[in-house]
Amino acid sequence: MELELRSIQIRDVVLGEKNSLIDGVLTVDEAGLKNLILEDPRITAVKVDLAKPGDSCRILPVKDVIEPRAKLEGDIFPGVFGTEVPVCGNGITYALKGCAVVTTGPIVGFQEGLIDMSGPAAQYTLFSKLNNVVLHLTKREDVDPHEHEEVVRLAGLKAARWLGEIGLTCTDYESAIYSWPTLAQRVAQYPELPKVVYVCNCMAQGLLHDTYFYGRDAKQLVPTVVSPTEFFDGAVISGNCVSPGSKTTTYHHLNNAVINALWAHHGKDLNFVGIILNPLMVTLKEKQRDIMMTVRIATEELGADAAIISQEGFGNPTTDLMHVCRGLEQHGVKTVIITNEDAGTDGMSESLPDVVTEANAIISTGNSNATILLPKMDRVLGELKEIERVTGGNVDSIKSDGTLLVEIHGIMGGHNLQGNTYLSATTI
Amino acid sequence: MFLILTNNPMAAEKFAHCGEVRFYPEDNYRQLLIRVRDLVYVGHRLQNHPLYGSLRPHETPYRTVVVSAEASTPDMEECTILSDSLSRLDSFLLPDKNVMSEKLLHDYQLIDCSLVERIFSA
Amino acid sequence: MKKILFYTNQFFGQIGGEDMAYTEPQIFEGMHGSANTFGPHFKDVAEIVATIVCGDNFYAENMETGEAFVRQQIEKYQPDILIAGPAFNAGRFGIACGDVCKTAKAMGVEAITGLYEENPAVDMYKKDVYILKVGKSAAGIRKAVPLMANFAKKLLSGEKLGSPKAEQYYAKGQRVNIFCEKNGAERAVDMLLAKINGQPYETELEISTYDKVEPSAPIADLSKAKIALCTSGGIVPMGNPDHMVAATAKFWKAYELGDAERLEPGQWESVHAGFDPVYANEDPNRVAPYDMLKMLEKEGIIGSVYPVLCSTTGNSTSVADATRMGQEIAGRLVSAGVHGVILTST
Repeated sequence: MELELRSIQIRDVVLGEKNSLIDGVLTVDEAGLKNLILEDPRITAVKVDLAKPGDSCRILPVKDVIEPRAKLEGDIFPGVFGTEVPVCGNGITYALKGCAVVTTGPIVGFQEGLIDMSGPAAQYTLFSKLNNVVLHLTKREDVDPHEHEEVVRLAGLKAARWLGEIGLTCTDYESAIYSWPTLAQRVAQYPELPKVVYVCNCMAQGLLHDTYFYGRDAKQLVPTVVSPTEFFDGAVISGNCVSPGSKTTTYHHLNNAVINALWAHHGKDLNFVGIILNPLMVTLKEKQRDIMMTVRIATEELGADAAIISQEGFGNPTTDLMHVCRGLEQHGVKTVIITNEDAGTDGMSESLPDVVTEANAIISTGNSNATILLPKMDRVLGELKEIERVTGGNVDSIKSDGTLLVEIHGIMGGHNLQGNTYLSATTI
Repeated sequence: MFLILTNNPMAAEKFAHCGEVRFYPEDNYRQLLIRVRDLVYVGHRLQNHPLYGSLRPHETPYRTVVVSAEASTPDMEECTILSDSLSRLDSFLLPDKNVMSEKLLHDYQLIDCSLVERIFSA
Repeated sequence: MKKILFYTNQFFGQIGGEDMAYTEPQIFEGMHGSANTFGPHFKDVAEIVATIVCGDNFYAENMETGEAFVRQQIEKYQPDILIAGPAFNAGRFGIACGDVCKTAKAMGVEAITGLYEENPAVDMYKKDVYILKVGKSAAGIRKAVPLMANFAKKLLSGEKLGSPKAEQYYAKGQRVNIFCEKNGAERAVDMLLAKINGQPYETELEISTYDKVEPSAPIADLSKAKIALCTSGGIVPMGNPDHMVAATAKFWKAYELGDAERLEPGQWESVHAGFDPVYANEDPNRVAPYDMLKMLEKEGIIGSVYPVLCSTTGNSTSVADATRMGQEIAGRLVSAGVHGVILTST
């Protein structure tokens, strides 16, 4: 496989009458975008807003964040639209950097996180640094929550593809070639370097706790070998929008921080030999199977010397994380795991519900339960009253002066478990 | 073949045909897990992880945990999962159902069912 | 100039040795005793305005009086910081230092002390106050004084503190969020490369590890087995004749029960300081269920009950002490032909 990723820097986004991309300024045909979204008869209304870095603006509840992307030939987000599931991870893909599509609108009464475009929450998440095109969707009344989730997920992806296509004629891009030959060739290429495997854990449990692979529900998935370029083309999509801080959005999957970090070292001091997408299931037997399979693929198929595991979700996924770590270490695979902590508001509780002694190299993306006081924002996109139900919020969240007390867990991408965050925690 | 312990009325109804439902509407998250623990300690085999899903114990009041109807030898690993999960609860203030809206409770019930239904087809 | 209030014991306060350990708390204006070794380190920054000296036994046995005295002095001198000790590995002095510091903290006054790592006061007070890592005995004072003084100066100036390791204090065990220069994924790759290449690295989250004890195989025939009862619930004969301690126990006791069918209420009590003992004192079998064992014996479910209660207090006990006591108890039980043990905690 070989993918050329053409990155176009977007420095501003404006709403207008015709799509264009001139000099880093993305003009979005507002009516055209609305018409596109309303093609789905299950959506009765859509509001389009812009939220830019530094704005006194709060978006909530956020369902997903998606980077606009398109392929010169073939489908971005393969398997999501159309009648066939096409090959992806090859050819040329365009990515509009510095901007994103953000979907909002409540599906259930307690979901999702917030993005503040300025103020103290802004330093926690990369989404505050993007020019966001915010879609607030209203569904037809008879659409149930399961279908509603799908409606919003598809609308966001459709908008991101449509915006991404504006970039296809742009010539002002930065090009990067990702070459991914067969495993045998990859191993032969750098025989002296340690072989590193990346295990990407993803939620696969139920409504608002799901991941989609080539548009299909990951609950039907077993641990699977995926190429970095498939991630870049949107083969992995988020349907997981509770526990916002530790949620992996589609934006995170497209810009998977572990893949990028490993790629930067690939061929220099390590040999990046593969990615295993490991679904985190509900039942213990499925967990046992997936742990066993992930360890087996990493060791016996890919021949890993070392591994990084990234995490998603709260509670039960720690069991998967720890046991994959144990299994790998027992096979002599040097392993580092990335996880957040739930150490309590005061930071004095045990950080993780399940631990193994083999987990001796942990990257922490911070204590979720630490609280942060957020100032009132001039503009709220979405519905502020939702905050009382947001993970990390509570009924006392909204103070009379309009400030908001939330756990940092309530911030979208606040402590992303693929390590796409600068947050960590330390013991004092 | 299954014992289904739940404090979720929607789950009690929806999974009635999947096994023997033991419905404890007054239980909180912790109380329900204690009942599960006591069964697992005497050898009922745990089907789903008690901290399934991503909603944390200070958010959702609902739990539905499935164990085997038959008791065999207690499984050390499952016992550990239960005791670790219970000690995990101590850092959370459990929510009060009485201050939640009907709509909110309904949505939590719905998600709970969605997370658990897989057990009966897996 | 910032103000420092100093606390020390009868020995370092130059009142006397063990024979003066019941000395009541007293106050000296300015520097007194070991406070003099600290004074020069604060030149131009702060001055030690007064020194409290109290006998170790007095403080340990009259903590409320001690605390009240400390509070009075804090109100009178309005110090910016309180420095206590260092107490090295001295148990009672250590607890007094910890308690004095905690009292100051509760009044909003910063406070520090210095203790050796095995001093039981470390675990008791590290959550509340900064305890600097110092040597085992008074020989370590030359290193301890500048360490504590420099740390105190940082607190006084509001300078940013380094990690517990860098500052050499015992971590409180509190997790606090920080922002890093590199993102988590980049740090993961750096850590992985260090791990692969056998270079040192520091995990960002330390997993507390305990020895995993493999449970023995089940007893094949309980009806022929001799079962013993052990407890870490601090159950002792009423009046505590062996002076079992309320915390950080280093010994255990075996109490012969003869023909008793149960632990008679009124004849036993719990000295454990980690829980409310009212219910245990009402009926000690609630903590050490000897009555149940005798019942099972009568019913023939177990063969016999070993008529001895092995007891200690499991409260802030060090793992090393617990391991040693466990081995000692096991030795006795094995030689008495015991097949199985029920160990109750609190």
